[in-house]
Amino acid sequence: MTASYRKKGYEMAEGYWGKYWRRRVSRRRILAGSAAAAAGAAGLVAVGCGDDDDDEEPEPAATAAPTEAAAATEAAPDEAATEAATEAAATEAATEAATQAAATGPRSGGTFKAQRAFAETGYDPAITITGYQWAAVTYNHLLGYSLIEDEAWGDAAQSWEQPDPFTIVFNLEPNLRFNPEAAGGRPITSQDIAYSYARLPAAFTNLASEVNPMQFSFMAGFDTPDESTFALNMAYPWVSAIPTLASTSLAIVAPEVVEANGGNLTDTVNAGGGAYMFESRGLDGFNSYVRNPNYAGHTTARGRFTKDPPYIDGWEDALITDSATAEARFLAGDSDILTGVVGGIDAIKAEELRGQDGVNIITGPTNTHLVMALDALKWARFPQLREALSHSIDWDGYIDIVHDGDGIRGAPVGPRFPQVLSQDEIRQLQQFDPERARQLWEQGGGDQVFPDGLTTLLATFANTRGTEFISQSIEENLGVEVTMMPVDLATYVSSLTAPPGSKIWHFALVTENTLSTIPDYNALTHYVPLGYGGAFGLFIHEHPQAPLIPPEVIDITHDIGKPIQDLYNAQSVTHDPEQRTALLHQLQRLLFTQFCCTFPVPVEATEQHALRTRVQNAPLPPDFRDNGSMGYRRAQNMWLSDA
Amino acid sequence: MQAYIIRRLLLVPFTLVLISIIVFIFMRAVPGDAADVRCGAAGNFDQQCFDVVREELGLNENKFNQYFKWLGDIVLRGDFGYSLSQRAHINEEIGKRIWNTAQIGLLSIAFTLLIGIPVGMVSAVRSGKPSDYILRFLAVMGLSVPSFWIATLVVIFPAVWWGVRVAPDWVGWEEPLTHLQILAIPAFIIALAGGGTIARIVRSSMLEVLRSDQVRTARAKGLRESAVVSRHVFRPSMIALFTIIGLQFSLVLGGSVIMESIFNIPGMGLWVISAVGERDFMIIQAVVVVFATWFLLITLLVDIAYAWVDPRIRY
Repeated sequence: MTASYRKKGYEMAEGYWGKYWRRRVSRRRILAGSAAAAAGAAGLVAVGCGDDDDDEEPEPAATAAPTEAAAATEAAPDEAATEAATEAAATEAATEAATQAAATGPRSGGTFKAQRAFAETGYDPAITITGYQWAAVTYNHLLGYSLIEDEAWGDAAQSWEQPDPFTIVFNLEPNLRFNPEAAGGRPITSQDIAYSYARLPAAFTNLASEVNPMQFSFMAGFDTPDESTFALNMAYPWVSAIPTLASTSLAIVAPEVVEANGGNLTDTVNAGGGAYMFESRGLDGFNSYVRNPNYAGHTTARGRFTKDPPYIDGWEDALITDSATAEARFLAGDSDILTGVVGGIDAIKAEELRGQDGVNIITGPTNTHLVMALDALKWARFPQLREALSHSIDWDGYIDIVHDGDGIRGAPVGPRFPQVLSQDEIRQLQQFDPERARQLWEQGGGDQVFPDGLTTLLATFANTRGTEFISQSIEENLGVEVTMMPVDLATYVSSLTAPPGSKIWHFALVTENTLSTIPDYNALTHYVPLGYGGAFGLFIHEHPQAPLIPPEVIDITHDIGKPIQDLYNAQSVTHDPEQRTALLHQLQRLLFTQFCCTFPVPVEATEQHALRTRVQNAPLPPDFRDNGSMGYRRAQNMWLSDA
Repeated sequence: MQAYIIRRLLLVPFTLVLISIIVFIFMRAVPGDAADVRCGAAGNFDQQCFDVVREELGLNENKFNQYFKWLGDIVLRGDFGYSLSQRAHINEEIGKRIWNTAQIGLLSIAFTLLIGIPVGMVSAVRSGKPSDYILRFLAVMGLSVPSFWIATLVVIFPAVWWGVRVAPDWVGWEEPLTHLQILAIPAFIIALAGGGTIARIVRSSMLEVLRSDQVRTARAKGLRESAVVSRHVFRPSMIALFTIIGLQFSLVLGGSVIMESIFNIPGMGLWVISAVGERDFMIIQAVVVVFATWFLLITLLVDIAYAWVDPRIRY
């Protein structure tokens, strides 16, 4: 499919000109706007009125304003009454509309208008996970996963069983087909799934895939006894295999389309059988999708994956990099959703939008995760200094200031998973104690070890307030100067991942942007040496990159990292829930008490998303988030009340 | 004049090479590259990914080889190569985008003149009177208030107050009114700063001419004030404008980078902003070279026009 400008959903002859008079503007908005315009005009009059004649003393500008203000005050009771009436009418109308929608019931049709802040870097689900919205809507996956229910739901799979710890057998939905532009719309078979999964390691090695290797390294092989049975053989009995199969990257692709395009789908779309298919890709990043006529029926999944109406006919997805423009599009009804930097909007913005015409704020518990990474190589030999650093940070103050009081203490496991430590225990393990911090810092010779103070990365795109708060806390309570280096995304990533000995920072806040599925790698992977812990300098001799690093450097961190990795490995193959929870508790306590080399940071307690009121049946947070598994883009039972 | 033009044209390639070296060196001096963004932004810090991408994108090659290969492709084939992050052919992308940027540029120059010249003229003619002060205040305000701030207000307030957008999503000429609406607002905002500059220049040069003997003579002949201004003041005062208008072309390019981002216009500016974030050296280098070429040619044209307008100037 070639790039083209988007098609409008209306005919030129009628719709183009028609939209100039079709838009409805509420009375309340007219009043607000007129008031603003009047105030502006009054201001202009006050500034601009006057005579060119120099001899005449100009009327002081200030006098005009009080006069206007007095007039406004006189009129105020009437206007207040009018506004109250208007608001009441608006509320009544909204209630009426909701009642009507409820009365008529769910309906099919309409186009969901989405927007995204980042451009996709390709269209191959086995390679690209940035800007992956297209993968969620245009491909099938074996499973979906609900964080709220902590349960996997069938997508391409109708049912599954695990006959032994190393094997999972899936029975596919009947009538699964690719979309008409992919492989001629032929039926999807178990061989297609085997092909799709088998290409993940090759894509990682040869095509620089962004997919996390943990998502496929547990796969040892596949059996396809017939076209509708798929057996996954595991290299080790990974406890998180089922939710992992819901990940967006594990999409089912048509092998012939991949082969016809040189072994990758980087520039190719419509190679799947998801509920929607690409209609066009615009130069301005505007993608549009239409319903895939071949989309399979589903017998499970509680309606989340559905062929039967009601469903939305199509999607539009605009690339909007400017946040003011994104908000304007949303308020004007040109987008059904307002997205923030990492998915949701902050509490202040939610409050500002609440009550606006046509806006619905949905709120729910978040499952996000944030860490403060230390450069392990710099800190590993100084346990007292690490502890001092942790005690110097006012963690509860962080919640008050950064999250406006609506936050919870962070842990190495996502806050909504049952394996997370209690808030009370976290408070015990991670205490703010400035006196002890200062004492430890002095005993450990902190000023001699770090004579130039500490340096951190101030990411300009996320967590700015958090970085500032932590830096200030350290400065105040340890008496150490903290230099904040403002960095953009590319500099941030390259600085974070610089080789051992080359990192310019002492600590940095690292956002978890993809936490929606797996408790033991999305969050914990920031702490373990074979995960991002290694990227932060916490190496062990078993690390794949160990041959590239001098052994004496690894010696510095090995003894700290090894027990973490061992505990992590142990829990990841423990299927007994109680036993696994016990291991995960042990691991979390270890991470909290040895202060190395990643600190969990408090996160917001709730997340908010702004939708237009016409959007019905959207999944609630934390399922709502548009990542990993069951974000709103895969909730096909959403519908639009004005369709 | 011919010799001057030839000399200036010969200087263009040398200047461009110098610019290309500067942009090439500076881009490589900034930490991070396309491989970092592609492999790291998603949270996959595996060295293998970096190695494969760097190899694929030619980032592991010697810097001199990278530069000469890039320059050679431009000089010999006019080929800017492929973008590192989007894998698109840069020449094709420039072809699709440059007209969008040019439309904003041309429209904003038109607005600049439409705002600047009348304001400057009225201000000069009514010098020292309240209207002069007001217009000068507005001109300084246009110059001082950042255009991105005005643009943000223009985008957000109508949406908050009335639930409407003054600049809808991008569409081409197939919807002419909407297209003009999209272009006109950013062009007007860019023009506010340029208009302020032009107004001040027009005012000062007109005041100079207004005090000259020829104007006194014209008035003494009994000509109407409007005739004096239009025939004997306006034309001689416009000479100074040419240089400024030339500079405006370059400022317009800079301004369009921000405006395209705020108004989501698929031009060169929006493209280069995303390229900076993705450390896509190839796009940034190409856009800088195109903008530099544009600027050099415009300044050459302005210099030629300057001599043509003012016979006293000889090269």
